[in-house]
Amino acid sequence: MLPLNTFDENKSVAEAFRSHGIPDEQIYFAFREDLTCDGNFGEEWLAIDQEANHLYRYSVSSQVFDVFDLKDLERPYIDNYTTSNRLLAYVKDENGNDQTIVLGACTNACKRKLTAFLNLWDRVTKDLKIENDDHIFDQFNAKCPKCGTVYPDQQRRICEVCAKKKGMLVRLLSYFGDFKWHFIVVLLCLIMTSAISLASPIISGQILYDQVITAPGVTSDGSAVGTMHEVKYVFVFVGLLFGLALLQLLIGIVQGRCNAHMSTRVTKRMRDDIFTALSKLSLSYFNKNSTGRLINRVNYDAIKIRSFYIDGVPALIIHSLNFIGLTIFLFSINWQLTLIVFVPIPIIVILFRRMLPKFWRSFSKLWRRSSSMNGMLADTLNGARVVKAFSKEAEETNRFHKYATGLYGANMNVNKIAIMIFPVVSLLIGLSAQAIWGFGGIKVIGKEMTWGQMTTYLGYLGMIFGPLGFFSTFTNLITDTINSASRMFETLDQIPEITDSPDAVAFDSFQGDIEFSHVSFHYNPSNPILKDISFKIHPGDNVGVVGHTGSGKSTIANLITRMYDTVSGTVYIDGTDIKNIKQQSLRRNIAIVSQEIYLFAGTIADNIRYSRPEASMKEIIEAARAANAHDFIMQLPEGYETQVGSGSRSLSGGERQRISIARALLLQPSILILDEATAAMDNETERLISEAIDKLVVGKTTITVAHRLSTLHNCNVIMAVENGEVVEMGSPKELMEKKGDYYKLYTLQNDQLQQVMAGN
Amino acid sequence: MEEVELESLFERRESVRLTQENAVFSKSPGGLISLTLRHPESDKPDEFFERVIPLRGFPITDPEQFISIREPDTKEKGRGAEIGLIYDMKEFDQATQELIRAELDRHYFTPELLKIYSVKEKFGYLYFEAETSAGPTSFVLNNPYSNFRTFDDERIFIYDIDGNCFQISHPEKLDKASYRRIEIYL
Ligand SMILES: Nc1ncnc2c1ncn2[C@@H]1O[C@H](COP(=O)(O)OP(=O)(O)O)[C@@H](O)[C@H]1O
Ligand SMILES: [Mg+2]
Repeated sequence: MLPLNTFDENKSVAEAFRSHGIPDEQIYFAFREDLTCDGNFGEEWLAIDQEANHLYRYSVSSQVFDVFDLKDLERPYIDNYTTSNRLLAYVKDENGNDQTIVLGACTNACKRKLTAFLNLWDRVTKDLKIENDDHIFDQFNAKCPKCGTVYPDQQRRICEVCAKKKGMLVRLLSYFGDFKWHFIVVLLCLIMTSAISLASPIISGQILYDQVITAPGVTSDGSAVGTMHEVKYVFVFVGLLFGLALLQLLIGIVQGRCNAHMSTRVTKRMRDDIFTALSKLSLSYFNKNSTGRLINRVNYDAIKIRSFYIDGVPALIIHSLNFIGLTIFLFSINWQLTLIVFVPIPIIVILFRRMLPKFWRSFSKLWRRSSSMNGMLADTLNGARVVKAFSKEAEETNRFHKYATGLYGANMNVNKIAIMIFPVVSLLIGLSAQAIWGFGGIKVIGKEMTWGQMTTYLGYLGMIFGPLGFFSTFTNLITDTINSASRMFETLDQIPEITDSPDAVAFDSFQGDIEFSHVSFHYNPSNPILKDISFKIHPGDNVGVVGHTGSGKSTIANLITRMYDTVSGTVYIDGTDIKNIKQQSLRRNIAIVSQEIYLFAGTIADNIRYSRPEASMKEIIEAARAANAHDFIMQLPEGYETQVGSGSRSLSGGERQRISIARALLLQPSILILDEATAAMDNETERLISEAIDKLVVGKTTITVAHRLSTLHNCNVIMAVENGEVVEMGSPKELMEKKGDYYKLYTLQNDQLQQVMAGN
Repeated sequence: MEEVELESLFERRESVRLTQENAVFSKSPGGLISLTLRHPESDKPDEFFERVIPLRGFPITDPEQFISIREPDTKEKGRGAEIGLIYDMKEFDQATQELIRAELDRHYFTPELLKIYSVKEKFGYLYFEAETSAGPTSFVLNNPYSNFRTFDDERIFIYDIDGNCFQISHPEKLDKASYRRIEIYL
């Protein structure tokens, strides 16, 4: 059996086939589907026998076994749906009319195999022999681009070797690794702060009041009071309290400085890491993730994580220390009173627990609303031209108003809940304070407790609710941080889809021979773009590509430059699979002027130089001249130093195109691809550029995508792309004779021209 | 160039509004949809399409309106041309509605998650075991934070690593245990 799916995966299938008189050896290749024909999840098998006479279908769940005569099944095809796919074929009914039947269905998980199955089917009906090492099976032996291990599950390409192993918190802490000393200092500061706040009530209550202010005497349990009943001690202890307060302030400053030092650097490092990771990723990642989200990741998530370590962790430490210290002190002074204090704690905890999720939910709603308002703002401001062109200012203002109202509502919600919780909490605290006054008062009168002990008590009571409030929000702080951290690591761990293979070769330049061999490609599985295309371009060819918009011309250009990898099939340059050519060599030797032009913020010279930063001024000017950009650049007040790029819109579409052509020419590429690069220019300018380019790239391979045939006037090969397939390829003369798509285009444009000439 | 030839080169069929009056949908022997298109206004003969494909114009917010009826996308036919547009499914009888809806549901295969048995995290990937409206299944998510999509009406779409999509139309109706398993990703 060919290595597509084999019965080893499910022995019961082999059993079922055998019970229908078909031994394993008789099966040529088989395919396992994950949907049944009626569209539910379930296992079904399709198989074709060695003689290519029959197609068998076996449903594991219903155990139904069907046999089709392969000859009866005509023109099989796949319906690609959004998330599922169906294999269909025509059969003839009794009147000899075509009738479509469903042979099988699968989700996107087995889509590649379905496509391969159809391809194999097509080949066996043509009596082609297929070997186990056929190229079509390569895609099912994919390796992790990072470490080279073959994926254990080919459908879900997860590399367990490269997957992250370290826990998230450990990884996060590693960012603070270089700041050990800062961390220790902060920790010491925290411990001291906690000690001081715990000591202060004791000094003011049990020492200053009981031993200094109170007249000498003995309490009911026999301990002495008023032992330091002198004025000088008042000064000593008040001074001590003052000193402690001052010390606490100093510690706060030290801690703040350490934090600031650490946090700015840690955030910077995280941002650097995220940005580096992002810039390594392939285009497809940027297609899937909106720019806004990525920017948010670089900005917001790093801050969030930092604030957890800078604010969250210290608060956790200090509150824990305080809480433990407090409990010990309170119990040691008077356990009965302590119990009274602790009575409201469960109530408060329950209250926090019940209310806070609501609070957090409203809070995250608030966050979402504010980010969608920002998104709307950015969108409108970027599209200011369109807004004005359709005079939609009032509508946009209304729309903004709606977002702002939404935000206001979310804000109100958060505040309402906050307003609910906190008065209740302070009421409870007030009640316990009164209880202490009551019970404590009785005890003080009964001399079971000193007045100083009671003030200490009241002091501590105020401190105990801080940790409580903090602990109940802390879990949310943690989830929030974990969310941010996982988003950050998600980006950091993303493996670029396109990487150099270990044995990739470097090329100084290319001959310019390009070959597509059975290339299929899609951006997302539901929408196949290129369908099994093959063609060859010889060195020095000047190829013109025509075809309707959306037919896949730019996609072909993207594959030549390996912006994406093919789904199946191979692209060769100079006979070498481009997966085995160093990306650096590809980028260095293939220049593409794409349809979507992007000029970076900077000068015109910077933008031209972008492709080859070491180029001299002279070379830049030559490239600009070839692109017919020199003249208009010289007309600008600041010449080559004119600022362009995001924000400045002073250049016309054609001017921007010419700058990007100059950028491509400066690279002195072996292969030049112009993807509708002159579409925004008048015919004369276009002609001038194309002549200049021809001079520059003699003997180099050029691929020109265009709609106007005039652009293609000196192409020696024309390729017509339609619906993801190369429908025609040959010299312009051959294609004219063939009367196909190219002929249509020619006739149409010629006809229009004649009509214009005739004056109607 | 002769005019006639040019005209025929650019022939394209005109899409019409489909109603009970001009469109008769039927189930083909292969279980798919066939269409007989009448031309009441002109004397053109009826057209028969052995197989047509319905597509939704607004699959997320308005699945029952603006259904495009097209020819299949096959090698010989090219991208399926639009035969006509159904403005509202309600304009057709119950049987037709069901026929088309079944095919649409097949096309926009988005099983409803009824129960989530388990969600396991391993090396940053989430492994789901769940009961869906299309039977039990398991699927894997990479990047969970980017692959949950919440709509204004609270509906949740979950996109898995293979490009399949699952939905939860009423998160509040999901049992507590299932909801808790996905809560943190929302
Ligand atoms: N990044 C992308 N993600 C998803 N689909 C895309 C992407 N780029 C192009 N497409 C789709 O691929 C098809 C071919 O696009 P393209 O190659 O740009 O066509 P052409 O250049 O011939 O006009 C179009 O249907 C388009 O919608
Ligand atoms: Mg294009």
